[in-house]
Amino acid sequence: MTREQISDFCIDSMARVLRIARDRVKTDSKFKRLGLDSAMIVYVQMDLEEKLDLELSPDDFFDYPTIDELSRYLAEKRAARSAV
Amino acid sequence: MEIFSSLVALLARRAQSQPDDRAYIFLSDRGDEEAVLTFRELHEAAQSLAAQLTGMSRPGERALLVFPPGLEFLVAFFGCLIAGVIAVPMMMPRRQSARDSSAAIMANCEPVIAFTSAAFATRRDLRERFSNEKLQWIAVDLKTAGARAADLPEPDSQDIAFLQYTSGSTSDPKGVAVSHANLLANLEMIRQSLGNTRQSTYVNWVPLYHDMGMILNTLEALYVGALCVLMAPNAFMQRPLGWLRAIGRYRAEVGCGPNFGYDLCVSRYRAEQMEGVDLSAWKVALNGAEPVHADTIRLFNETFASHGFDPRAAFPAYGMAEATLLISGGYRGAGHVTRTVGRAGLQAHAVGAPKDQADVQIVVGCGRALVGERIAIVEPDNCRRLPPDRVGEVWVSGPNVARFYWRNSEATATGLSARVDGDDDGANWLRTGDLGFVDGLGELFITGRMKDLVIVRGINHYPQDIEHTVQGLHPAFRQNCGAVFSVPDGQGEETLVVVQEIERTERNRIDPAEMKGLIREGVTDQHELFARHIALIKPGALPKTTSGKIQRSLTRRLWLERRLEDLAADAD
Repeated sequence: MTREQISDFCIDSMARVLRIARDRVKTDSKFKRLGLDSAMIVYVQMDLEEKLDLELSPDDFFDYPTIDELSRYLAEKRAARSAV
Repeated sequence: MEIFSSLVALLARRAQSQPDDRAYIFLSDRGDEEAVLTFRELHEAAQSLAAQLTGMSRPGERALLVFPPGLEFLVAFFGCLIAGVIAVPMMMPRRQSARDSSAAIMANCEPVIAFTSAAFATRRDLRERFSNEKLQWIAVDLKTAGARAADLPEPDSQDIAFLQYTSGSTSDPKGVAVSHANLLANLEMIRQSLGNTRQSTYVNWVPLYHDMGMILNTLEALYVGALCVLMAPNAFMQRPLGWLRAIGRYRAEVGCGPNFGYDLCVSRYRAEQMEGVDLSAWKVALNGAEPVHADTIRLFNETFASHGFDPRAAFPAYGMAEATLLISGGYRGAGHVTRTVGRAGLQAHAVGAPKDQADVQIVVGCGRALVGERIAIVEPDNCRRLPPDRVGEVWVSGPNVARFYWRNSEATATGLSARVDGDDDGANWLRTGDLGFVDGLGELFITGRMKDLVIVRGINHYPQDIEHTVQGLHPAFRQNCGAVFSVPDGQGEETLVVVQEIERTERNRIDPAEMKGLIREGVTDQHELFARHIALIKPGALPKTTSGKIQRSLTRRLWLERRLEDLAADAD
């Protein structure tokens, strides 16, 4: 899965959780600025875990606080795993 | 059921009559048994803590309970009761949040002791937040097996057991003073309503600083001598099906939570994760602490029917801290009641049949008054009783209603000592601030709220706190010129609306999208809430009374009718 696909999936998930249109989810906005509270972060986390077959921690959302940063990190994490 | 004079006597009896039965189990995030306390172990650990407490504090002084999820909270709680120290459960403050209610609560109750777990005793930000030279910290360990308490006098039933700060805004905290008598009265009412026995195992994920988690789930189990299995709230949020698996594994009869928890189980349902899970022992699935939706109950029943979930277990209920916890509920196995009414009529406070399909609203009954308690529907302006099928304020009277708020005589006088016009029995009534009606059989339906309160995921938020946060974010936001309220979204869930006036001088200098982002970030940060809709309006456009009070319900109506001009509608 490419970074773009992961990024797209993050947009889908966040738009669904926030119940707003996809085009309002900017990939360079901080999650907090989008309005994601910690319970919503957990929902998105669960979505991503299922879709990407990866285990995530809520801290990942603090360490990589935008979709751009998070999707890059997740793409690398998946690539690293398949390389093993 | 045996009559107890205090919770101290109750715990002593459990420790004596069933010492080696397991009282509490704490499950790890993976579902393993991480900690266990028998009734005897709990009693001994609490006694030993009480012995330590008597050397550090006097009876009637206050002790904060600030714990991560686990069983240590219970040891500290009962330790306080045995020593006659008033327990004050508090939410564990989040690391990032700058402002919360902890400072105001401390100013109101002036604690001398703070309990936490050994792992958190070293968290520096905690100590800084609670910096107060008088405060002594005690780290609680389940294995504290030191000296037993000397013969401490048993508390009087009228003594205050703990303070529950779930209501009141940040600036004006209201600590409900709950006595042993209040607790025991409500625990007995709950027993009769839920039909619990020693075999009624509980599985609870609701936090213990929340009255539902502590009283309804945790203390009620002890009251009937049943096992209570606890899990961390976050573990539930992350894997809600883990709660259901635990209910199946322990053959639990009782599992309670707010409405959103049941929605979460449905939306997270995965057949492969529920393979072999049998929910047929589950008799009471209590739904309370926030508005109960008919759809939630229906979808939950449908989703889990194949796991043996009995639809009659759905148990909508109503309660609040001022009444210790539970105000109304049904009876075990009786199922729940819904009623189809006209939406427009309801808004005009009359209950009748819907005019047409678009006018249909389904309301869920929250059961009837509990044994020994009275519920009245009252016209709030003249305090007169209303007949069935008329909407008014819900009032409650009974031995479970607290007598006062801690050091807040004004709130006590208006909220806990009301009189129904025309009654001459001298009874004190709790004004709940909620709107509802009863039908001819006494079934209570909650239809709305008088007070400007926003309830999301079972947590109460006060608009003035959020407005204050917003106005502190940027000089363009006019002070005392904002309104925060909630509106139902398409799914009937409460969503937050922020309306804020912009200073005239700043109007053309600001970037509206940036301003809205700022508000969204600030509200998420400080209140854990999503500001779904934001309207920035011209100075003077916010409805206020002649005395300058913000009219939130009028603002809400104008917003719903799209009559407020948003200066940055494109940016929302």
